[in-house]
Amino acid sequence: MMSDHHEQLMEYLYQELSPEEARRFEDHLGTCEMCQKDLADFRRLRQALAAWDVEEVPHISLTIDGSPSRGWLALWRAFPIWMRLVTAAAAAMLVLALFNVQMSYHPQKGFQFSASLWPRAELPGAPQPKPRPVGLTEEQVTALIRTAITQTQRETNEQMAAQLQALAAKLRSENERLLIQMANTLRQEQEERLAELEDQLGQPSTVSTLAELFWEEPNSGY
Amino acid sequence: MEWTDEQIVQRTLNGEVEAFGILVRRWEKKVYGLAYRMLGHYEDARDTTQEIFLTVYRNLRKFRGDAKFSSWLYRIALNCCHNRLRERALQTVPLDESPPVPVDASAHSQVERQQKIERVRRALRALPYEMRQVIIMKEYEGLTFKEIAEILNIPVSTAKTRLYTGLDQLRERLLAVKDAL
Repeated sequence: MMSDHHEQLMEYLYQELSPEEARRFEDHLGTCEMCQKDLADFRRLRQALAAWDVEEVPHISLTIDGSPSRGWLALWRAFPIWMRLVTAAAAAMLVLALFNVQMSYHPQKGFQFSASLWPRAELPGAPQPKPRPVGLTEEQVTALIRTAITQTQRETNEQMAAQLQALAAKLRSENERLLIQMANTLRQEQEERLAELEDQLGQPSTVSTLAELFWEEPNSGY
Repeated sequence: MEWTDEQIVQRTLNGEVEAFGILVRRWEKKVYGLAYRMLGHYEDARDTTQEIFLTVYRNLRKFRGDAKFSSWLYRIALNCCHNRLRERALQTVPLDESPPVPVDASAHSQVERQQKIERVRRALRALPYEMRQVIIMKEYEGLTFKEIAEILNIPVSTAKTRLYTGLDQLRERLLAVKDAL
């Protein structure tokens, strides 16, 4: 078993004794050769240990992302109130659906809730829906499929035709708009040019635009 | 005014992630020194130091402030070192790694000093883990017996006993080599 002196020796070696305790231990040291030897050896040992220093500390780089929980929390906080409510309601609905919760209301009994780990239809004793009798022949099934395919093709054709008509109308209107725009631009340029010419000649012209010189008005009677 | 470790922890928890960098800069030398002396391997010590700080960051909410932050940090550091040593034992990676030879190794005194350090490293590494960690915490980290006891969750007298036994064994190992001390 370790003696008290060994513990005191450790505290003395590392200067953790109070002055009074240190003085008492020094009294003991004066009479104990074993402690004197330990102390001398351990002091030399400490010198040897101190020689092993860490000269260079590598740069410690950490890539710290917010923890997943913090990320979700930040996202939740970024939501407006209405979105939080909708999300909470959706989560609640999901949980209710997972547990097959059924809600019913009776005027006398009020709201009633019931939950189950299995769908209602699989509950023991629950009435099972009767399977429909299957009485179609192979020809009838084939005819039904053909009818369905024909119907689908007709609907698709009608949709495509409607889309093509809409596209053509859109293109026409776009062309008209571009033509009007070009005509307006041209007219404006001509007016500007005419104004310049008037300035150069020093007298006003009776013709307002070049278009009036060379083009006939659509409602001129020709 | 300098922030205390505990205040920085609180700032980090309040969303100031950058504040954690102050803690890393403040403690990286100590933590790396501990890891290096426990593992005796530069790269292992560097990787383990990163792992230690990441573990601290991820578990920051678990630090309740009952003990000092440094004690909590050292506890995590020792656990990480212990895990790394265990992994390495399973992988049978060689433990020995001599430190880089200094450029002026031709100087006799320098070589002699390096040899002494190497003997100390080997003697330390040969000690049982429990004693080695107490010697490193006391000698290199400058922790008090009370702090060591708190980190290792042992009585203070046990910390002193482990240190005495460790130094005693270290003395025996080094005295067996001529001029080791």
